[in-house]
Amino acid sequence: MSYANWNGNKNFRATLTLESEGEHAIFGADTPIRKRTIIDCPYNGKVMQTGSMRLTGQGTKDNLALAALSGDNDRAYLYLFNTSVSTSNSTYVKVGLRAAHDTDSASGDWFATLPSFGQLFIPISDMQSVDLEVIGSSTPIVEYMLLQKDA
Amino acid sequence: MATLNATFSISSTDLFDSVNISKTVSKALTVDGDNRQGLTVVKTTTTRMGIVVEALSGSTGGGKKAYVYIKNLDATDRIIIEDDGNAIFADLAPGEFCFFPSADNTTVHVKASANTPLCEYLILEVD
Repeated sequence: MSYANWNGNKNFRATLTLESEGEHAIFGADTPIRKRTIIDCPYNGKVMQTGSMRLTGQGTKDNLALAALSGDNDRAYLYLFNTSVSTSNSTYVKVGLRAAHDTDSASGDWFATLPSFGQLFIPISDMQSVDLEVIGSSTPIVEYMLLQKDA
Repeated sequence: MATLNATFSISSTDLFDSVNISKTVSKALTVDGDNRQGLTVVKTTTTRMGIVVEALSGSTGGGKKAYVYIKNLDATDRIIIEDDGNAIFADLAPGEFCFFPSADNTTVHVKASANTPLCEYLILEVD
């Protein structure tokens, strides 16, 4: 299936660099970590969302996808960035999987947590949407990209 | 206090017809947990396999928090990622990677869509 108002076969490039060296190196100064990896990510689905969202607050799961993810195993690229600059360790954003778009995730369905200024990148699958819920008293703004892979 | 410097960049010239995007975010991540698994490569199978040597623990950020990097080194087959309750949440096509702060899971499972693709990973417990 193609969508006439979309240019097909779109791509974005994702680059991750992980470094740990010097006095505070994770495995000591003699064992530095330097890792860089780059991929080009193709997407062609009906859900192509980028933007930012202020989360409602603790106790409310905000549904990220405007429509249910679909295609082969509902696969999509998910990027999240918590723009909060709070230094409190007690404030963070829970990221959970919505197996069905219109149903909140269950208590055991969250798989990641975003601290202030934290980010993640996951080629997700087997979920129709993503839940975001802040833990703590703030209502942070989360920037996001959600790009369904298959039409 | 040990530190992992993580930098992630996204760029695209065709996400929108009229606007290109280019974004880079860097952060120094504190890693004080006692379960620190450096870059490792394992051969996966279609049977799920836990890649955490010691059960993740700690109380920061929802508990059992760890920074996880996983990359599919294969050229053909996919690698599927599950949480400790065997719920699938990620699917890495050949060459793809993920990087995320895992939480509320004592381990992370990986398995192959078919055959025995190689999986590269790094797991750093936060506290």
